[in-house]
Amino acid sequence: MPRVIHSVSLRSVSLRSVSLVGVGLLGIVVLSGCVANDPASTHTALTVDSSATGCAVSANEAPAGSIRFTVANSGDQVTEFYLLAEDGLRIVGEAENIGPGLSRDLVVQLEAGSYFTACKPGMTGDGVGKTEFTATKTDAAATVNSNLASHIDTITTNYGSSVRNQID
Amino acid sequence: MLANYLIGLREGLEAALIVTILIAYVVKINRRDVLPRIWLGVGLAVLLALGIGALLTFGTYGLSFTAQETIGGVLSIVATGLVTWMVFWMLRTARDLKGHLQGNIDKHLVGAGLGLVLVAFLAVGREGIETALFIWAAVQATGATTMPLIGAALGIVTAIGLGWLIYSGMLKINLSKFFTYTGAILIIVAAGVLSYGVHDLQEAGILPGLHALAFNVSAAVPPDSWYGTLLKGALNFSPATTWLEMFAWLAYAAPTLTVFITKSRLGRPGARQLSVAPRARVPAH
Repeated sequence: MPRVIHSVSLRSVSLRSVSLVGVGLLGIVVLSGCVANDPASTHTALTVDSSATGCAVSANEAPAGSIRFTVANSGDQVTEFYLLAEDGLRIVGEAENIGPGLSRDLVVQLEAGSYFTACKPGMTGDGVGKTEFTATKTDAAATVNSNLASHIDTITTNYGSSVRNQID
Repeated sequence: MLANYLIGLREGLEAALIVTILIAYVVKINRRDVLPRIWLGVGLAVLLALGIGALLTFGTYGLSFTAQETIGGVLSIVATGLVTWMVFWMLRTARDLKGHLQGNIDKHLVGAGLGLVLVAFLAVGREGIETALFIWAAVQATGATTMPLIGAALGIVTAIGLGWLIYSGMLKINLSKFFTYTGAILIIVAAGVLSYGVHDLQEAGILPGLHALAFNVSAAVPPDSWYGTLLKGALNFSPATTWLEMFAWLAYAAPTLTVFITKSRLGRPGARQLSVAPRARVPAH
């Protein structure tokens, strides 16, 4: 009998701590993961047409900062849209579950640099329409944060080559 | 419409299976009085997910990709822990039921009140935001076409229907088999939820190895086929599985199943002596 009672209290304690940790993490992620939807605030809006064979982005460059890709699926399969880092592997942003006839947004905060855009109709394979995408340095970033920007560039380059080293 | 239907079905099944087993279990041990707690968890998760999804779709702020994947990943891993707890809680209660220690069952249920709400909440809520964003995208498209929304809704309704069929099928199984089967099924489902969580965290860049695939059977099991959808929805089977996902799946499923089978065997000899006459008193439905 005492064994049963003991295990009940132990269980509820561990359960409570697990749920507390979960809720805490969730809160932190939600708060830190918010990005502005407001189109007015230096926000670049681009459209993507994901068809059966193509992945046409309305522009292949945009000023660094907040960029919204509105991905419309004109094909007849479920599609996904990917924004990949310079190495073409690391996922910077992804919009998934875009059913035929649907349109979903991917909002990202981009540093200046090179990226790739691609679509994955059918949710499988290497994807289609992989195209280079450039986030250009903005004046604001250049004057206020020139050191930071170059620092980030260095880190990005180093990270890219270390990833490449690991893969090769 | 079919493609959107299958998304709805997949997302619906991911949530419905665990809730179905939980409800069948509570009914099976003749404790319908705790059903409201399960529905409370389900209701809270649906409302919260739809609410957050609406805010993110129509409000001032969106959720970054990394944050969304991290939430899905972390909640999936927490859900695995809770489902595991539930399986072993069920096992203990089943043993008390066989030994007719009704007092122990009541004690366990008191301690498990919050647990039942949480399991139901996480089973539905862990990928709820993604599902809600998909539904609101379908709602937004209704200006142009209502087909995606109808498809998505029919998919979710089908998932609930399948859950109900599984539920009524389960109630027909005899008691001791029921506990062993549902426990083993839940452990396999939980292992899938765990590897799903690992994949989300890999996509977010928090865990490495997104491109290191252990196997890729996408050609044989296309993710947009009906059987690919059912496998993904029920067991979280991904046709393109990374090494880390597979490792997490095995590292969880192998020891947990072993402990579960050992424990349920241990409980059997004692129960067998008692089982012949008194089991008839256990309500059969």
